[in-house]
Order: sequence, then structure tokens, then C-alpha cells
Amino acid sequence: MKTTRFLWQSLKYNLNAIGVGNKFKSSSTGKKIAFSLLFAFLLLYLVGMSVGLSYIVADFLSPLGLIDMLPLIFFVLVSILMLVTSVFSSQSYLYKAKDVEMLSALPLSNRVILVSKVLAMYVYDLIFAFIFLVPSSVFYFIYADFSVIGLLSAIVIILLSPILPSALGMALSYFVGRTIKHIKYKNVFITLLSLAVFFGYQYLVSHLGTVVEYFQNNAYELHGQISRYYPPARLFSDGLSGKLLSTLLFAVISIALGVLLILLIAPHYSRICANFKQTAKGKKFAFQDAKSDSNKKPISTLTATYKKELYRFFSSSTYFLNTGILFLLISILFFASLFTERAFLVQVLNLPFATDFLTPLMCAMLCVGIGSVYTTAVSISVEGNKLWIYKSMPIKEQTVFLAKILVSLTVTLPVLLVDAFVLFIGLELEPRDLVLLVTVPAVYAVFTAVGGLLVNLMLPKLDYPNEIIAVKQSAPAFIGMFGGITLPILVGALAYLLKVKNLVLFLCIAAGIFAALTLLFVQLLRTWGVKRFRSL
Amino acid sequence: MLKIENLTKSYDKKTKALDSLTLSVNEGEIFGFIGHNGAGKTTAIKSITGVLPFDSGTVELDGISLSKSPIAYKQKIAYSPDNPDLYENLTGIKYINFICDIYGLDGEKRRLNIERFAEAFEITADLGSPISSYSHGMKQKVALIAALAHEPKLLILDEPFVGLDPKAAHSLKLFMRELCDNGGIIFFSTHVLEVAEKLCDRIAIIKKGVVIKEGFTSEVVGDSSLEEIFLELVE
Repeated sequence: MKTTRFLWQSLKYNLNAIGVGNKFKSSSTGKKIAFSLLFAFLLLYLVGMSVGLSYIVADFLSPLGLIDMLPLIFFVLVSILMLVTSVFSSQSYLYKAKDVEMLSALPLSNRVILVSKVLAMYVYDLIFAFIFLVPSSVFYFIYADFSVIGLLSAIVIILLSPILPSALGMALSYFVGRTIKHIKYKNVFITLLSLAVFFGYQYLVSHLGTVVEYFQNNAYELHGQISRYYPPARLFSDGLSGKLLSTLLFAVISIALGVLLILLIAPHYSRICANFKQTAKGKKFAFQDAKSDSNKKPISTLTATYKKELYRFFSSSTYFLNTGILFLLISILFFASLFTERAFLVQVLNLPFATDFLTPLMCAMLCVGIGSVYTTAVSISVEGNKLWIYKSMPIKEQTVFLAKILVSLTVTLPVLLVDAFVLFIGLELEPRDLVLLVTVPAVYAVFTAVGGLLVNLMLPKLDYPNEIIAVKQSAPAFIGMFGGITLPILVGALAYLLKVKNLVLFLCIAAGIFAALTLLFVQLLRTWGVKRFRSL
Repeated sequence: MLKIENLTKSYDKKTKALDSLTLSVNEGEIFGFIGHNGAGKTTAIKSITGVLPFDSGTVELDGISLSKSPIAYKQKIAYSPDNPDLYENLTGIKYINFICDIYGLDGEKRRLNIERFAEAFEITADLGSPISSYSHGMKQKVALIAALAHEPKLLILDEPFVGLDPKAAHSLKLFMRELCDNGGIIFFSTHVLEVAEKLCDRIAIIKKGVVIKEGFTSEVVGDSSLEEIFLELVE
């Protein structure tokens, strides 16, 4: 009874840590409504995407007589998704969890503590399982035969589906963590590893046509290969078709593996956590070696704050990779495809009125890329319990804000300039186009940086057990990223709906509006923002 | 001179964490702020450092108001909290240099001060390591070096001895006395009543946000011990 109560309380705490529980319980009706809307939108977005994808795949497979592959494909996809998230989340929720030391001092066994952590990860992964496996199962039942046993099998397997990929993710995370612990430039390694994964994924997406072709030609072989290399997917597919034995086998394998993993890790859990938390020490410091620190010329508070903010940004792979790198990656991929697909480019350039819409389109695309950078939207949150440092120092709040905005612009503007020049040369544009390509996205870069800061001041997330919650899973992070990306798309949609003829003029007006809004935001930061910062 | 007048702070608009707190501390004084858990010590300290906004009242240092001229006020103070949460990604020396940059402390003086305090706290060798690798006591030492390095007029310390080893605690007491001998002011909270009794020139005992006893240590203590007086007053 005591253990069950602890596990339930622990699960609630973990859900609250990412703000889910707290926001629904918020005393302010406005906050409750805003959060409910945000949550509903996110859920609808993901479910809609899953339903759409399930339908497209089901519709493609059914005429080929391969509907059995629908659950197979989705099970593999969701397993990969859960595996990847588990590799990352195991680090923060399992091995580097801040409360393990405190929990270890309580009359709780290591096994119970470990189960409480694994349970939280299981619930997170279960959300993915529901979102992606329920629609594909429904479409399977629509296109293939429906049976009660099939339905029961679907429920059982979906509920147990996170166990296998999570277990694998936990093991992988352990070995990756152990390996990179001994690497000096850990952040560089993590960044390079993430870039490799990203480019690998993009390569796959860019060669999707070949993949689909391969899929059509080798569907039966593929079916066999998936079944051979990842048998749980086959068991899921068989379970849906009413084979009860497959469901039972899946359940036994999953539960046995889960229990085995707990039994194997539990005795060593405290020691593993202690090892993971140890940080490598730097070399022995001596003042005579620290050339940069002696006879240092005084620098302005803005320079000092900017330097500190920039260092903070680049020294945290969580912060840097999640909030700042997408624009650079998108740019690299965009140019790679632009110049490798030269024939397509020539075709586009030869279209009538190409010059009229090309520059505005490129401007919009650059704005979308800039919108993916949301460093300022979490810049107050990442201060967390260190906010006292800024608040007790003789520094103006505006200086802190400006330093945070400058970090964002340091990330966006150099990439923007390179992008604009490459486009100018590559697409043989006019000098007027170059001016547009630089100024319009630059205005948007300042707008998103200032706007992001306001959003974070409005919705700060200062109390969290792990930085990843502030950077990825908080409301300002979500608003910062999706807002930044969505706005240029909305402006583009508006131009399309209004059937705007002079897109350049429309773009200039839009940039003017963004500039005016930026000025308004700056004024808000100087007044309300300062008061708000002091009250945090 | 530090002057606190009618400082009032409420977190929930119902109960007052600080109720018209009025105190003054002169140059050269070490002022001890004593109270049980939840009495309002940290709230008072955070209010007079500018970390926490207060509802009403005034805080002045040498006539400079915290509310009216926060930058000029903060330029003269330094604060070390009870739980030294510092920038974990920075090394100790980078953090201290950042603080010195903000206070405008330049080259040679900066180096000499940091070196002196770091040697005394026996943390020099570790200053090149990231703060994330530090123990609680090491973080406390770095926070104290950063606070002492720019030679503040007013040093505000919340439970400064928690986590410090005996030698570092001894060094800190010497530095506190030195700062006051040079015309500075120390305002600090502690639960270690023996330390307060020996170190402080004046003390105040706070209960439910109200100062219930204040004066020169010898006057407050009289023939008893500070522990006896404290227990008697807070009962």
C-alpha cells in the first residue's frame, strides 16, 4: 500500500515537473483556459498528423493487398520514436535525476525508486503509443477484418508497447552516457552526434521517392525483413488480425523484459546515478597561468553580460541544440538541395513571373528558419534558481534583456547574411532583392527575439528538476518555436487568400508591421518587462 | 549607514512575512540577524538586496535608496545566499570574473583580491573546474570570493557558515572583521548562536516578521547566553 502510494505520488510529481498538472490546477481562469487551448491544439495537431498519415498509408497499402503492413510500419515508427526519446530522457529522468539521493535516504528499496522513475518514462512513451498506434489500428480495422479479439489485442499491445523500446533506450543511454563521460569536449561530441542523426534523417527524407519505390517493388520482402529483425511488430500485426497467441507472446516478452531490466539495474541504481552525476574536473588552476585574468581591462556591463549569456548558450548542448541550431541546419540542407537539384532550379527560374515571387518566397522561407530560433523565449527560464545573481547585481534589467536579445541575433544574423548572399549569387538576383532578403528577415529576427523574451517574462518556468523541461517542454518554449515558425506561414497564407499581386510591396508592409510591433514590444519590455523581471 | 524603515512584505496579501521592519546598522558594525525557521530572515535579506520586491518601506545605504536608485545602491553591496546556486556551466574563475566585470573591478586589484580570498579559502586549484563539479561548500566559497572581491560597503550574508570547513569559516570571520574595520557593514543571518554572540557587534531577533529584540550584543545577552535569551524570546 505504502509503495503504491509512493509510486502514484512520484508519478504525479513527475507530471507536475513538466507543468502538466500545475497548469490545469492554476488558480487563474485565464491561465487555465490558455493552457487548455494550448494543450488541445498540440494534441489535435499530433493526432491529426497521425490520423492523416495512417489514412494515406492504409489507402496506399490496401489495393496492393498489403494492409497487414499498416500496423507493422506504425509499430516500427513509434518504436523508433520511443527509442530515441528514451535515450535522451533516460539521462535526465533516470540516471541524472536530482531526487535519487533524497529518495535513497527514505525507507524505500532501490527497486521501488527505479520503478517510480521508469513509470514516469513509461507514461510519457504511452502518450506517443496512443497518438500513433490507435489511429493506425482503427484504419486497420476499417480496411481489414474487425474482430473483438483483435480489438482486445490492440489494447493490450498498445499498453505494453513502450516497454521494449524504452528498455533498449535505457540501456543505450547508459552506454552512451558512460562513453561521453570521459570525453573532454562533451558538448561538441553531443552536438556532432545530433547533427549526424539530423543529417541522416534528412537524407532519408530527401530520398523518400527512392524509399517509396523500393517499398513498392520489395513490399513482400520488406514485410519479411521487418518481421525477422523486429518480431514485436509482427506480433502486433498478428494480434490485430485476431491471433491471440501473438498477443500473449508479446505481453509475456514485454513484461518479462521489463521485470528483468528492473531486477538487473535496481541493485546498482544508486551507484549508477552517483557515477553519472560526477563532473570531470578541469586542470589545476594557478593565477600565474591565467593570462586573460591578469591586468584585465574593464569592460561594460553589457559586454560582460553578453559574454556570459553567449557562453551559457554554447556551453549547454540542451539549450544550444534545441533553441538555436535549426536555422543553420535548414540553411545547409536548403542550399545543398538548391544546388544539387540545378535542373529544377533552372525550371523555376524560367517560369513566367518567377522574379516576382521568388524573392518574397525566399524571404518567407528565411523568416520560417529564423522563427525556429527561440533562444530568448526560454532565456529567463534557464536562469532558474540563479536569477538572484542578476537581481542582486548593479545591472539594469534592460541590459540583461539586451544581452539575451543579442545572443539570439548572434545566432540568426550571420546565418541570414550568408543565406542572403548565397541566394543573391545562386539565383542571379538583382541588388534590390538582396536588400529585401537581408532587411525583411532581419526585422523578423529582431521581432522574434524581442517577442520571445516577452513571452518568457509572461510565462517563466523557473522551477524544474532538469533544464530540458525549461528548454523543450515548457509553454514559452512551445509558443516561441511554433509561434516563430507559424507567423511567416500565416502571412504567406494571407497573401495567397488576398490574391496579392505585388508581393514585394506586401512583404514590405508586413515587415513594417513587424517593425512597428517590435517597437511596441521594446516599449513593453522597458516598462512592464522591467517590473515583471523584478517581481520574479 | 544601512537604514531599513517600515519594511513590509506579504506573499499572499494575508499574512505579513515582514511587518514594518525597522533597523539601522552603522559603519564598522557586524550585525547579526537571528530567528527561527520561517521567521522572515531570508525574506528580509532578499528584500534589502533587491532580489525580492517589497510592499512598502524604505531601504537606504548611505542615503542611497534601493527603490529610487537601485543600481547605485547595488553597486555598494554584495550578497551571498544561503543556497549558492551559481552558473553551473561556468568555471569558478569565470563566474568570479563575470561578477567583477559587472562591478567594474579592474586588472591588478581584481587579481590580487581574488588570489588572496581564494588562497585563504583553499580553493585556488579548483577555480578552473566547472561549478557543476563543486560541492556545496566549494560553491559557497566561490560565492563569497565573488562577494568580497569588489570590496563592498555592505556585505549581506545569509547563513554564510553553512557548508564551510572550519578553516574557511575562520578565514571568513577574519575577512568580515577586516571589512568592518575598514568602514564596511556586515548584515548576516545565522542559526549558530555561539558565532553570533562572539562575532556580532549588534544583533536583532526576529519573530513572525517583527523584530522582538535588538541592540548591542552585550546588552541583549546580559548575564545569560544568547541561546537562553533566544529560546526565552521565541517561545
